[in-house]
Amino acid sequence: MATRTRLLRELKGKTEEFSLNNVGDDLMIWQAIIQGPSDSPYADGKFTIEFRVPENYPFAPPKARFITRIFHPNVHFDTGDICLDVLKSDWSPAWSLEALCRAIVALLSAPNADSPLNCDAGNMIRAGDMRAYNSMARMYTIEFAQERNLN
Amino acid sequence: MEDFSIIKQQDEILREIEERQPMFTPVQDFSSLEVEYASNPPFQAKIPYLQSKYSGFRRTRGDGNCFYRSFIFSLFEQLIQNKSHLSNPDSPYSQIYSAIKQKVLDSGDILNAAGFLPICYEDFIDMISAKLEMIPTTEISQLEDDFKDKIIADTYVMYTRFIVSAFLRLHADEYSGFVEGYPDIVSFCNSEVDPMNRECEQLQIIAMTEAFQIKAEIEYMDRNDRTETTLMSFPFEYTGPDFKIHMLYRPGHYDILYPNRS
Repeated sequence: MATRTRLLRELKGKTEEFSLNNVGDDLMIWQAIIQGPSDSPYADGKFTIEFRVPENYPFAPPKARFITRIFHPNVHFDTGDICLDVLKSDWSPAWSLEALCRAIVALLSAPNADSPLNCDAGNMIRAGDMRAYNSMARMYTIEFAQERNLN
Repeated sequence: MEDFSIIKQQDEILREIEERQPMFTPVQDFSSLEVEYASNPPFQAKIPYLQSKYSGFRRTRGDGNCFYRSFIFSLFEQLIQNKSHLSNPDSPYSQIYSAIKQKVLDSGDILNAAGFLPICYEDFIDMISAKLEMIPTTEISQLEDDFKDKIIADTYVMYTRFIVSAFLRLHADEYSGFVEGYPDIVSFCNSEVDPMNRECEQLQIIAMTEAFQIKAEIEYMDRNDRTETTLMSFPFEYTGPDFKIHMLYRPGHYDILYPNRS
């Protein structure tokens, strides 16, 4: 009950910053479309993110994953799972789904190679080979995240 | 992946605590402490002193929320216990009751000023306001029932976390020198105050008692060779009504104390 009230508040209170909505009639599944930040190899890509909201939200975080394939050290290349502290240990009811979208965009600009879910991407950055990382990330952005490829 | 397994392990420890310990026990005498510290002379030696000042204590779950939960529970419990005084403006209970109701009403503006989003805190303020309004017709058993419901209990706790966090964020100049291991107050609050189950250090206790303007007296029980516990009082300067929250601290944990009736 409290979860529903909270999610309805979030639905009513969200801004136009992202295309963020619940899926169909289900308040417990949401999707957002985020824009790749211009200072990153994900620029002009559009990425769909799915949030699965647990019954005890906002005391527990939603499960967030990329639906759009992305090459990033903190995103699992196959499942789209995201490694981000506010989605796990640092989660607080003070966060919202919209604030999470903002944190995920920030993660695209500032990849963290220390706890990689995508080891290839992590290794490139750790080795200082930003050229390799940027071109791989760019290539997958063009292949999977550009307008013409969205269905 | 290592990150995930540590979190999984922490979750399991927490689940075990949740299964074993209630949010609060009934008020009990100190005999269980005697058993617990049978082979721990420095702690054992301080129990008679506690018994001389307090009739008993209420244990709370050791899930990292113990200070926050004990504080808000004890505040409500004392107001409910003294509800017959709430309409007497000379009574400290009535003065605290009015002050707290006003603080909760004002807390939306404070949380907003601290950078929190209304969609995130409004439900918490609404519930606390409603619970405060109901105090004149509430029984202790209803308060105890509230804290058997995890969602309601966590809502009380999270409200106090919001208040502590906002206080520190808005007084960053005064307190930023006291955060260890963090570059600033904001990152400290993000990681140590806002998430549930994060333990409360002295800084959060100062912030809590300052923000609510409620006095907390804490008996510290530790390994020293004295036979008395050490009393500390927060906030350091307090001139408000004669009302106190009493707590027992043992390393890593807070419980509520019940003073002898004088």
